[in-house]
Amino acid sequence: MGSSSSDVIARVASTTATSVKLVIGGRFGVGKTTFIGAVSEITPLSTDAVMTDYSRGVDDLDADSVKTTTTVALDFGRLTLPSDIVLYLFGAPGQPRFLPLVDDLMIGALGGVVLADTRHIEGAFDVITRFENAGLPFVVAVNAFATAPVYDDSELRDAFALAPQTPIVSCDARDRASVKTVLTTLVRDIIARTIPEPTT
Amino acid sequence: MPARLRTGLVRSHTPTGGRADPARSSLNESTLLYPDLTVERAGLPGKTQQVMEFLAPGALAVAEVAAYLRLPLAVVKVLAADLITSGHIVSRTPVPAEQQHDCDLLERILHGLEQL
Repeated sequence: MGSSSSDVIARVASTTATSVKLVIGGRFGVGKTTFIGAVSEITPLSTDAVMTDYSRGVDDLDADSVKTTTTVALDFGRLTLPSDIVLYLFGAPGQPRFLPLVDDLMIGALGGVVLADTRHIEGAFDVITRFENAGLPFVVAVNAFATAPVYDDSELRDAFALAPQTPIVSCDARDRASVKTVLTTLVRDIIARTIPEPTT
Repeated sequence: MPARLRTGLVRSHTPTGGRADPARSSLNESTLLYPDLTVERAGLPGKTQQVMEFLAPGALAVAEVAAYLRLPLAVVKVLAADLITSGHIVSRTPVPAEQQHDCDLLERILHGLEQL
């Protein structure tokens, strides 16, 4: 115990760094933590978030909803860019019952990535809807599992019912360069959305 | 001194003095917390002191403090807000989506990614 254990923790070195939060969504088991780990400079960490929900179970005898709290583990990683930016990548829990937590995670986020699996297209619907409703810019990254069928982008765009401007890319969540490409695509898209707007 | 039960667990509202909401709603998971070591740390209450001592070697984000100290995120937000109010911590809030029209910053992110 004591301070020796904290000495090995990689600190944010720059005193002028700007942090940026990105949310990585997708169904349970789609590879979100693998995706984060591929670019993170730290071993992905896990922290507890508390979700408050109102259960509406059929066994509620008095018909009043019961407030319950659930602790959900959030995995995240960190990537320091040479331009004095520290990216934090948060994995949004994929189980449908934890979706309210995605709304909390989007607060203060710059953008999102929906990691998808062509064997379970529908597994991405919930988080896509969540991002769209919040107006969070996002890209869909199709994780190329070896056994997953391959479709062309227009088929996938239809299947996900994506807005025309939402980028869709294929990726390998284990590969650093591939994940970097996904993040670059996201930032380019946000820039492209920004430029046409008249500035003051 | 009476024997203490050492379960390693504490009811989550205890370290925050029973307050549920962070004093600073601007704090989020990726807010960077920079310690100001010129401010006297002796006498800070329990968990607040723990957070401050943990941060003393250098800055980390709220989520990192929570993960390393094994405290719920909500608790760390409250403790960090107190330390900001008392001047022990200076925070740098992440760039939210509402500020994404800052092209300079977006270009910095893009160029940073490309330089990796």
